[in-house]
Amino acid sequence: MNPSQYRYTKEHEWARREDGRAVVGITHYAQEQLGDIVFVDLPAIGVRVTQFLKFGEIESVKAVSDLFSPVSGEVIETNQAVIDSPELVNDEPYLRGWLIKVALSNPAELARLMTSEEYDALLAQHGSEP
Amino acid sequence: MTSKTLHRTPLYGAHLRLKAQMVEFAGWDMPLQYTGIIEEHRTVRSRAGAFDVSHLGRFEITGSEAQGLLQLLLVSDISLIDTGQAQYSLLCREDGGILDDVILYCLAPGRYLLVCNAVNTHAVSRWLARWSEGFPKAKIADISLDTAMIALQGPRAHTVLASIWDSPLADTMGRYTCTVAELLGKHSAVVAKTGYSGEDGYELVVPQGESVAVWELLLGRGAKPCGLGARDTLRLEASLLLYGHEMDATNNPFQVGLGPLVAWEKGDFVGREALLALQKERPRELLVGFEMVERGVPRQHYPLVRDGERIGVVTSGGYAPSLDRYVGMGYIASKYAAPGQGLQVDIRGKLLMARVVPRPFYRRHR
Repeated sequence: MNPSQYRYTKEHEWARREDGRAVVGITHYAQEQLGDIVFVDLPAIGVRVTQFLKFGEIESVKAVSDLFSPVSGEVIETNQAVIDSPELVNDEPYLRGWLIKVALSNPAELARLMTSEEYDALLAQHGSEP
Repeated sequence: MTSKTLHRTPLYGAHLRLKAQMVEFAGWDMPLQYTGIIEEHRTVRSRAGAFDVSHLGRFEITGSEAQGLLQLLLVSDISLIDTGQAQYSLLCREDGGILDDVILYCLAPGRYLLVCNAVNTHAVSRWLARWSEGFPKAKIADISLDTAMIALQGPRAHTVLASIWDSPLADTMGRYTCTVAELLGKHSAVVAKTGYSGEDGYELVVPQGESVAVWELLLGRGAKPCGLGARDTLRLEASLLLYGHEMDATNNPFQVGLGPLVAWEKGDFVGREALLALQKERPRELLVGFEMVERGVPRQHYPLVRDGERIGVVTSGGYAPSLDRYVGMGYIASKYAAPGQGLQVDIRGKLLMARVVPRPFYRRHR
């Protein structure tokens, strides 16, 4: 079950709104598909990210994958704990494994993301337990 | 999804029952991981892991001319190994290029087992057939599909094996030795003290029909199933070479650092003339190990750079779980190959600092 207060992209990122900003990470399904995560490349603080565009990279033992931002705005914080210990993304993708915090430039665009029910349904099509 | 039919090892069903994540490798449908690459890696470093390596090519070469044929095809002197001994060696082409790296096991006088890389099984098979024409008393049998091969690796590998093998040899076998054994008095196996993990361990060749029983015995006695993902991270840490990464037919043994395998005094062998000439050339590039100074994951084919100039290329690289570092191997211009030399790795357009370090990256405690 994916957390109901989060919003999701079809690329398996999530956003959790906290007032005028959003915390961003990847989903449990994403970390499971990637396998052991060994490196994350996150934007510097102050960089502007755009909804559905690439904002960084995440690397597992076997492969490199792009990270796509669920929201637009300015990066105000990156998760140093994850940079130092990327396996946190595997262990706690929705909590301590968050990636960046973004000051939202257009909070209305959160409505373009999937709810947890919609995301669970997408995963069910992939044949995965949500 | 690939449309071609992949080979399945005799343990394929066992992997599915263990819910392994499967991956295509060299035409085989193989387990990439069971629970996680890093967890499996750590198991082999601290306890015991069992790997299905049945995809490796296996040839039995027998007869009164078996030794003569192998002496012609391998660059090393195989008269140095007697019954119960094994040798790491190379097959080279006439032009000195490496056709494959192999392990040769002498099971009895005139009875050898040759194990080659899965990607090269067909090439090696053709090569053996071609050269065997002059050796009518050497018989070659491809036993790759009639047998399974299981690698049992790690500091507890001995305990696991000794629990199913009632023989004093279980305690006394030295590295690079082999024997024909009976496990639990009923499963015949070739047991060899070889491996590809940087740990102590064994490789077992068992008849196809008994392989599931032997696999399950090993797991029942405490070995954890490990996939090709961990096999690769383990061999990288131990800086063991992988055909298709650190070497291929465009490399000669001297570039790869395997010149000492070549036995000039044994007489003629395929590639000798070319290798004699190549030996006199100083290689322009050498294989080195490096570690990242700035954080980043080096991977195969990434350029190695110094002062804005390309000086080499990464052949293998990644995260080394036992060291908590990012390491790699690669070819580098020989003047920059000494440990301590600085370089940069071009990681998808980003130049990140690294330095040459001695190999291996990881050495087990003895």
